[in-house]
Amino acid sequence: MDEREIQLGNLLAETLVAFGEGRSADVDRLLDSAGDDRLELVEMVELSLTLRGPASPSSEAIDALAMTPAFDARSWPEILTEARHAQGLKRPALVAALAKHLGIVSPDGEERVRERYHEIETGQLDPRRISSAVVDALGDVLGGMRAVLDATRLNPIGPLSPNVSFMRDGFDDVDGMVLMDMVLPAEPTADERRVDELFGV
Amino acid sequence: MADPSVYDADLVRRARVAHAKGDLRTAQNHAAELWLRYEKQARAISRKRARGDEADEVLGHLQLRFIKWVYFRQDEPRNMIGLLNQMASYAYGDVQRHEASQPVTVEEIEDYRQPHTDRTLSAILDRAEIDQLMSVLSERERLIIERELADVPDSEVAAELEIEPNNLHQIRWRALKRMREAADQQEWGS
Repeated sequence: MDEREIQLGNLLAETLVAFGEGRSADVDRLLDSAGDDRLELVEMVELSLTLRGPASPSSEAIDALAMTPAFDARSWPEILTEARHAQGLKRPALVAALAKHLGIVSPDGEERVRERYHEIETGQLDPRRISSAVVDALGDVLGGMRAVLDATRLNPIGPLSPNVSFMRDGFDDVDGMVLMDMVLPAEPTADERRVDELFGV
Repeated sequence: MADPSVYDADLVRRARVAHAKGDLRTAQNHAAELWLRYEKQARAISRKRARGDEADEVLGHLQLRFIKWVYFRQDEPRNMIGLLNQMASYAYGDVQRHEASQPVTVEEIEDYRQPHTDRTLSAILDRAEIDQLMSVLSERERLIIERELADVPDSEVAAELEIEPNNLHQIRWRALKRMREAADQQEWGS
C-alpha cells in the first residue's frame, strides 16, 4: 500500500466532510497538512464537489442571501438618493458632513465636494473610479452603508438622472457660451485637486 | 441525471430579464440561488488560488464578479465550474490590487476575454462528459464513487467491499486521480 496515497485519501475524506459542514478553518488546516500535495488535494476536493453537481439551496437560504449587500443590483445614483432621503438629509447637509469626513475644510474644497457629489448622485461621475476613502466617508454619513456602497460600486450607473442640472434644451445665449468657452479655467486650488483625486477625476 | 447547465442557463436568463425590467428583488433571488448552487465549488476553487484568510478574500471578490456577471453580462453560461475558475484568477488579482491600495478598475472588472490556461476541469460539468470519465474506472472504483455521490457513509461502503476505510480512501483517491488525468487529456486533446 502506498502510505502517501492513504494519507491523501484520508485527508480528502476528512476535508469533504469539513466542507459539507461548513467548517472553513478545518478545511484550511486539512489542506495545509497535505504539504507539497496541497494543490493536488484541493483539485481532488474540487473534482469530488463537481461530480456531486450543484446544490439545491432552500428558498429560505436564497431569500436571506439575496438581501445581502453583495447581491444589491441597484446603481449608485439610486442607492445614494434613497439612502439620503431615508436619512432625511438635504444635499447641503450631506455635502458638509462628507467634506468634514474627508478632512476638507476650505470653502473652495467644500464647493468641489458638492460638485462631485452631485455628479455621482446624478450618474455623471462613475463611482467605479472613486477612492475607498470616499466610499467609507459616504457609508458613514449615510448611516452604516459602507458594505452596500462597497459591494455596488462596480454596478453600472445606467442612464443619466433627470436631476442633471445642465440645459438639455439647447443654449439660449450662444454668444455668452462661446465667450465663456474662451475663458481659461482657473488653476484648481490644492483642496480642489485633492477632492478631484479622491473622487477619481 | 438532468444536465444542470440547462437549469443554470435558465436562472441566468431570468435574472437578467428581471433586472432589465427593474424587478431587482427577483433578479437578486435568481443570482443568489445560482451562487448557492456552486458556493462549495467556489470555496474550493478560491483555495486553489490562496490559503486561509486570503482565500476567503479571493472568494469575496469571486462572488462579487460572479454577481456582476449574472446581472450585467450578455454571454450564456456553458460551464459554471469553468467560469468560476476563470473568475477566480481575476479575483486573486483583485485581492492583490486591494492589498496594494489600488482600486479595481472598470476595465479589469469587465474583462473576461482572456482564456484561462490553468490545468482545470473546465469541461467536466457536462453530464455526458462525467459519464465518459466514469468509464475509465474499474468496477470497484466506479462503485466507490457512485456510493459517495449517493452519500453512503464510508463505513458502509468499506463493509460492503470488505476492505478497511483507509483502503477505501486510497482507492477513491486513485480513482479521482485517474478521472482527472483523463479529463486533462480530453481538454488538451480537444
